[in-house]
Formats: sequence, C-alpha cells, structure tokens
Amino acid sequence: MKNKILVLCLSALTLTGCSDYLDIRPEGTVPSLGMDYTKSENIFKPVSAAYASLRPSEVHAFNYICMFEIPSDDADKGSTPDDNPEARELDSFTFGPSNGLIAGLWNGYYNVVSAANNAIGQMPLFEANMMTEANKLYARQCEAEAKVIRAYAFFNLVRAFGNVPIMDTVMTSEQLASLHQSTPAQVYQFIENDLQEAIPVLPASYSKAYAGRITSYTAMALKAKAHMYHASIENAQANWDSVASLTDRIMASGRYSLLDDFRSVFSVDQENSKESLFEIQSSSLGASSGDNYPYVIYAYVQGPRNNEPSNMQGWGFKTPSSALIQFFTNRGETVRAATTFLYRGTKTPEGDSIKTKCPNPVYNGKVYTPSSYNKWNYNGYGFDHNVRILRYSEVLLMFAEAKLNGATTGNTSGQTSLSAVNEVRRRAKLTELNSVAVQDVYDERRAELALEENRYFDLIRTGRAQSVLGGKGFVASKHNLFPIPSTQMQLNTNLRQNPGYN
Amino acid sequence: MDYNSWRARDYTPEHYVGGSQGLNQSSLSKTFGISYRHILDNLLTFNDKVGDHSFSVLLGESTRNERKYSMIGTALNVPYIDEQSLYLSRGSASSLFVQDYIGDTNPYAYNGISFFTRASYNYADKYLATFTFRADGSSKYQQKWGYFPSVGLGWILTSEDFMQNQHLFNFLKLRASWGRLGNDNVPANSAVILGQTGMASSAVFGNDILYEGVGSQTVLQNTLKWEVVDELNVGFDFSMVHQNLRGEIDYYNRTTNNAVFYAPIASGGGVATLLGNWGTIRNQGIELNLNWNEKVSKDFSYNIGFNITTIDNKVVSLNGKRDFIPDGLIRGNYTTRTAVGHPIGAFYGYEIDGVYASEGDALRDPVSQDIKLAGYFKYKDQNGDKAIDEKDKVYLGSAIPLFTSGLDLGINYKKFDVSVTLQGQYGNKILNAKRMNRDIFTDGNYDLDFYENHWSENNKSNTYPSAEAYNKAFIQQANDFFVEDGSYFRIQNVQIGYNFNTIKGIKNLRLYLSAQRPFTYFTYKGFTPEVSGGPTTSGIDTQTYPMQAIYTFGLKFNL
Repeated sequence: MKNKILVLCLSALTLTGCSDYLDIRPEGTVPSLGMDYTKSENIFKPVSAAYASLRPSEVHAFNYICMFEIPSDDADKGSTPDDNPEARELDSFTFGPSNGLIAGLWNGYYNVVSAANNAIGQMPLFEANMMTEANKLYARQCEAEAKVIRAYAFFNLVRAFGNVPIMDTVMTSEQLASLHQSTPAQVYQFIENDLQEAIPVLPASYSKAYAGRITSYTAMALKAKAHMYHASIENAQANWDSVASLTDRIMASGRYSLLDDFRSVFSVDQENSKESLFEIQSSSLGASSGDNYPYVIYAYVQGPRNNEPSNMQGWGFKTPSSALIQFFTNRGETVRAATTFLYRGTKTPEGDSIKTKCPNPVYNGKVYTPSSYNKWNYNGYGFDHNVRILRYSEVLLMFAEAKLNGATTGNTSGQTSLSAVNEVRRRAKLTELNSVAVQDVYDERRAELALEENRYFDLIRTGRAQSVLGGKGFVASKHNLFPIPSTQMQLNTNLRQNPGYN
Repeated sequence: MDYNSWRARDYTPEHYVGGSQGLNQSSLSKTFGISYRHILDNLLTFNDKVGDHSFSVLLGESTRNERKYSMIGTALNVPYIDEQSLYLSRGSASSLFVQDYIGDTNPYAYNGISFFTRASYNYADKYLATFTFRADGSSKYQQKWGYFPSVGLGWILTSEDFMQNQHLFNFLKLRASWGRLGNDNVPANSAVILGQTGMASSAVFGNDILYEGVGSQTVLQNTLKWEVVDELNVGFDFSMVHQNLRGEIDYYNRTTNNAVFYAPIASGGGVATLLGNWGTIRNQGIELNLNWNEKVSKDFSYNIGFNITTIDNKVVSLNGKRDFIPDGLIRGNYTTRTAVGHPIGAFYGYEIDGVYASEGDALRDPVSQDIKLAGYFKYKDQNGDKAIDEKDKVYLGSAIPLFTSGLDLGINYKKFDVSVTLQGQYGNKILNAKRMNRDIFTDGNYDLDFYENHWSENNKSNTYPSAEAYNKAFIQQANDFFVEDGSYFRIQNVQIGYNFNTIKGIKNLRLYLSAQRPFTYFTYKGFTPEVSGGPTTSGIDTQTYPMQAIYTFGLKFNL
C-alpha cells in the first residue's frame, strides 16, 4: 500500500488557549459593566449622561414645540405655509398615530427614562463601594437627581399620552415588548413617589460650577406642578393641598425671587438665575461650528427665518399668534409684550435687525439671542440659550391657583393668592389687582408664561380646551391626549390606542 | 494575508452660495486608516487507492483575524496656498478635532478559529461519497463554537453496465447532498453592552463646563448563537448529443436557522434596534443550467447558455420571540413586516381601491378613513368593518423575485467573435421611498410621471392621487402605489471582437468593442430596479443612483 502523504502547509501553531483567542472585547469601547465603582469621580458619570439625554431635538426642541405649544391658541406653526406637513397636522388637529413628530417625542422621552434608569441602577453599587459617609451621601444625592429626571420625563409623557407604560429597571427586549400601559393616575403616583423620595436627599443648592443641576427645590416645584395636573384627574382637594404646601415651602425658603428685569429672565447672562428652578442646559462651548457640542436647538428652530446675517436666523417655527398679541394688547402689557414678540422690520434694543424679508410677521422673542453672544460660523442661532422649564413666577402662580381651588395648607410664607399674583404683575409693570379669581390666575399664567409650552396643557387640564381650541379643530373626547404612535404599537402589541384614534 | 490602507483629504474653502448655504471658514478633514486580515491555514491530506476504491482524507485547521482602525481629523481656517499647504496644523488650534471611534464599523476586531475534516470516497468512478465536519469558533458570538457536518452522495449512472447501451446521455450523474454551515458574517462589535461616552452622554453646567458622562442602554443584549444554514440539494448533471448539450438541474432547500440581523425594539431600552437570532428563514427552488455548444464547421461555432433559478422565500419561525418584526421606517411608519408564512421583509400596507372622483363619492362611501376627499386614495376595507385602520393592512409582495434568469449567446466565425449576455428577474417589488421622502414638500420637485398623470379635475385618474393628497402623511404610507413592480430585463453585456493574425511581431492582436448594461427594460418609476438593503429592509429605494452603461473600445496584444 502506497501511502501518499501530501503536506500542503505546516507551521508551528502558537495559539494560547483557543477560547481566550475568541474572547475579544470590541475596540474603542468602555465596558459599562466594568465601571469602577470604587472611584468617587465616577459617581456623577451616569447621571451626567441622564442630563445629556434631555438635549436631543425630539425632547426639547422641534418635536417639543410642535406638540406642546403649536396646537395652542397662542402659537401658529410658523415658517413658510408649506413647511413640515407633520407640524401642519399638529397645528390643525389632523394628526393621527402615524405622525412622525409624535413618534419621535415618545421615543425621545423614553430614552430619557432609560438614561435615568441606568443612573438610578448604578448608584447603589457606588454607595456600597464608597468608604466615606460623604461619598455615600453623594451617591444617594445623584440617585435622587436621576429620579427627578425620570419623574420629569414621565410628567411630559403622561401629559401628552396619558396611558403610558412605566419602566424603572433594566429589561430584556421581550419584557420591553410586553409591558402594559398604566393609567394616568398610576403614572402621576409614580412621578410623585420618585419626587417624594428625592426631595429630602437633594442639596438645596450647588456651587457656581454646577449651576443648573437639580436641587431639592427643583424637585419640589416639579412635584407641585405634577400635583396641579393630577388634581384635574382625581383627589382634587388632596392634590391642591400638596401644590400649596410645596410652593409655599419654596417661597418661604427665601432662595428664589423674581428678577427685576423681565427681559433678562431669558437672556444668556441670567441663565440659572435666582428666578430659575429648572432649565435644560445648552452650550456651544464657545465653538463656531460643528455638531458635536452640547447644545439644544430650541432657540434655533424658532429663530427669525431668512434673517441676516446667517448666524441670526433660524427655522422660524412656533410664531406668536394674533390671538396672543391681541390678548397682550387688551391687558395693556408693555414689558412682557416687548420681550415676547419679536417683530420683523424692527431693531432690538441690543441692536439686531429682523429683516422685513422674513416670511413671518412676528417671532418668539423669548428665545432671542443678541449677535454679540453668537460666535457661530453659519446657521447657528441661540445655541447658548437654555430652555426654561420652571421659574419662580410659575411657583407663585401655582400657589395662587391652589389657594383659589380650596387648598388649606401652605401658610408659612405669608403669601396669599392675591399677593402672589400681584408680585408677578408688579414685575411686569402692571397695576396690581384688588381681588383675584381663578380666571385672573389663568390669564396671568398665559401672559407670564406665554410660549413656554404651558398653554396647551393648561387649557386641557382646566377643561377650557374645547371652547378655546374648538375652532382650530380640537375635539375633546379625542384630542385631550395624543395618539400612541403606531410604530410603538407594532413593537409592543400589548399597547392599546387612546380613544378616538384608529 | 490581506492588507489595506487608505488616506483621504477633504477640503471645503470659504464660500457663499445664498441663504443658509455657505461656509464662513474653510474646513479641512483628513482620514487615515488601515485594515488587515491574516488567515493561516494548515492542511494535512492523505490519498490512497486500493483497486477500484480510492479515498482521501483532509484534516485542517484555520486561524484568522481581521482588524480595522482609522482616524479622522478636522480643522477650520486652513488657508489654501497650494496642495502642499493643506495640513490640519495650519488651521485654527481651537478647532482641531480628532476622532478614532465611529461606532459599529470602526474600529473593528474579529478572531476566528476552525477545525475541519473531509473524507471522500470514490468507487470505480461510479459511486461517490463525501463527508465533512467543521468546528468553527468565532469571537462575534457569545456561544462561540458551532459544529457543522455535511454529506454528499453521487451516482454516475453512465458508468453503470445497464447504461452502456443507451445513446441518449453521454454523461448522467445523480447527486444529493445535505450540509450544515455556520455563518459569522455579522457585525463584529455587537454582542456586548457598551458604555457610551462622548458629547451625547455628557452634561454641561455653570459657565459652560462640560462634565464627562458614561451612558448605557437599559435593555439587555441578546446572547448570540451561530447563524446556521442547512442546505439540501438534489439534482443531476448530464450531457447529451455528442456532448453538445450539457446541463444541470437542481432542487435546493436552504434553511437559515437563528438568522442574525437587527430588529427594531420598543422604546425604553435606550437603543432603537437589537441584534438577535430572530428567526428561521427558508429558501427553496429549482436551478436549471443548460448549455449548447456546437461547432458547425471549421470556421463557425456557437454556444447558447440558459439558466433560471426560482426562489420561494418564507419565514418559518420567529423563535417564539415575537409575532412579527416591523421594519423599513419611512416617514415615521413601518413599511415591511417579517412574519411566519411570508417572505422576510415583505412589504406591508394598504391596498388601493381607486381614487375618489368627487366630494360626493367620498361622502357616499360608507367606509370611513382619516381623510376622504376628491383626489385621495380610497383604501380597501379588508375586514369589512367600514373603517380603514391598521387592521386593513395586507402583505403587498416582497423584494425577493420569483425567479432570476439569464441567457448567454456566443458566436465564433472565422476571426470574429460575438457574445451577448442577457439577464433578468421577475416578481420582485420595490418601495419607491424616494417619492415618499422627496415629494412631501409642495415646493419640491416631482418626477415627470407624477406630473403627467396626477389626479386633477380634468384628469380623474383612478390610480394617481391629486397633488394635494400626495403631500398628506395618510397617503404617504406603504400602499400599492408606492410598492411597485421591480421586474426587469437587461442586456448585461455585448462584445464584438476581431482577432488578427500576427502582424510584424505583434502577436495575439485583438480588437474589441463591448457594451456593459446598454439596455435595461423596467416599469419601476425610479432610476434603476436594482435596490439593495438589509434582510428586513430590502427593496426600499431612498436614493439609489442609476446604473451606468459602459461602452469600451479595446486593443489587446503581446509583443
């Protein structure tokens, strides 16, 4: 038997252990499960990522203004008439479950929930590994911050969609796909729980280097607002009582007050001022171009369209409506009108012109950024403008509304509903009222918080949406909630659509 | 061993076109990258023959790795003097920005090891058998090792005694094989939860102070197993008519188990899609290959080749994880659906039952839908509940053709030769997402076909919507207006050549004219019917460029 052995190639094999060779971690990545929980400088990192998740356009810029303000009677879609069909649908109440802006907002806020859950989940691991009491406390404080962020995300989700699934842990994709929705009452309960746990743990203030981080007062103000909305669903008395006692506590602390100059409230200089309780931080970091910077395009999407020079223009959306301007005029508003309305063909006190060639007669003045603050190269307007979420004037007005709705608590600050409303009016250089009814508070809210994404949901919660927005197409049994996005309903077949939508 | 390196330089000078289009400062970007692959194969073969029995055994081991790294730097305000002056360090220092991580595709690392053996046996060139077995290990899967056997049998009928007296077949072989193979051609950096760093995970506070953050998804990654393909093949090879006619005909049945691809998941996990072994897909069909070769005379010969492959694709199971997988997100809606009993990534949407000719028609129609006006589509109420909603969506076809086919012709006459290749496919559908994405803005351009045929008071089309309807999200969904027939027939290649005799020492001089893709016939309204995509997003045309026809004139010779 002839053996023919053909050796084609033989080399020494110098492999060490086959399975080690196959165990390589992807390049350029950080193993999240390999976070060093013994280093105190790592504690804030997951929380930092949770704050960063508030910046995308779907969360606090385009989808936010399109869903939370444009449907109201205070704002028109803006830009050119044919621009953005999906925003047009929101302006005219012809939207349905397939509207992409609605789907984007849902996804954006659930990304915030995910980022907050990630941070909350890691804090106990840090706390267990920290040696000093101070570091352990810091880990608990950071957990509380993430809880407030999670509560805030659910607050916007429940106002928009009503019936949303609650999630508070890491899950498998099968679990995610089989969650059931909770009722609005359950979601408010969850929100208030998170905030209730956070308030005693959070610090009252931070150093200048951390200005803008969530304080215990931020959590109190957010909780008060959540109770205010919860009151329109159930347990009115108990909820209004909570609103009053929380706002009272903020007022009594003496840490917050109204700025003298209304215009400066919205300026870059006075961001995170003594009037501010919560702002979404936005910064270009002094850069002049690039898209890899921590800015929010909230001001940009509302900037004067086709204005010159090019770094003083934006997309021109969410323009003040003639109804809002009329409302201001009838009230004799001067100070607030000058700040809220940015007319084309005029020059701002800071020296910038809004050209007559801009397609819309008036733009949102509250997001105006003077050119002296704008280092951007091209097409970059308002990248340093923080999105104002909660201001002290709203705290005063929530207090007044609570008292007028029969709240019996909140008596330590010495404010009454009348004094609170008048404090807001004084700053706006309006004559003070002699007596105040709940409609006065509604009107004061509308004037003070105009174009700050409050009007639409205020109308719904106070039952006035049908009469005010009926002409625009609002139908109460349907539009008091936005539809659950059809894409989400296909990814989780347990979700049920809100009434009135297919 | 495979080694690639690349360099790129992109320079945009200061310019102003108008409106918001322009650049205040010049911008320079440079990319450097390398990728390499090493494969080390070690094989040991043993052959022997004992009488009519011959056999061989192969033992093998293969080790491979692949790496890819690249870096991109950008800087602004680089003045242009000449080519040699374009360097990043000549730009403004504060604008210098370098990046070496661009997600899934870069960097990239992969290791693999395999052990395999093959034994083949041949008895008198009549009976053939082959058996192989592989053990493959891959760094891409968490279940790292896969085991893959295969067996093949062949029977050369024309070597049998009972076939010696027939004159029909010169050669006839019957064969059958069954094999299992693992496929690790999936994204490498996928099986593990990664910490996300960078600007999108970092917050800013105070006076523009950035605080580095680390984010992470809150949905667990799926454990990945090998994607395993089982293939059964039964067929026969033959040649007839003095070997002028040769052919192969096969039935194939290919089942991909634990197919790995990205599928969208519900919001809340921090990521939009997840890689997983989402399902089992089966492809089956017939493959036929025929070739006729005839030498008519010393000067003239010709050949004709014909091939056709039929494809029947079906999702057999989704591994019990989901009822269906939607994908193909266009304008905020899913356009495909992968479900048991249907092709993978089949289009899913509304059937159109005409266009409302008037306000009155719309009002008289008892079926309710979101918008019902003249010039709008009337969607078909599939379940008869008098309301158009998600339940009325149906499967509209898939990007996978019913069959693909080709024809080769060749003629050789004296010194001339002509060859023609034709090719085509039938039964595939394409989603014209270009129309869905572009034509939503009323101040955008429409394609000529829509312009000429759209519904209007003077042209009450029953297939095209009005220009007003065309912009509405309700019309801009997957429906059988946007899901078009993608079948095509193409002349793939035509070549005419002339071979000269040796002239003055120039040997083998050949002159040729060739045309590649000179003609394609298709009814699809986009630029080309060849649209690619992933497994669940095939056939979605968002911006496919037309295919070029290339005409070549050539000269070939030896000196």
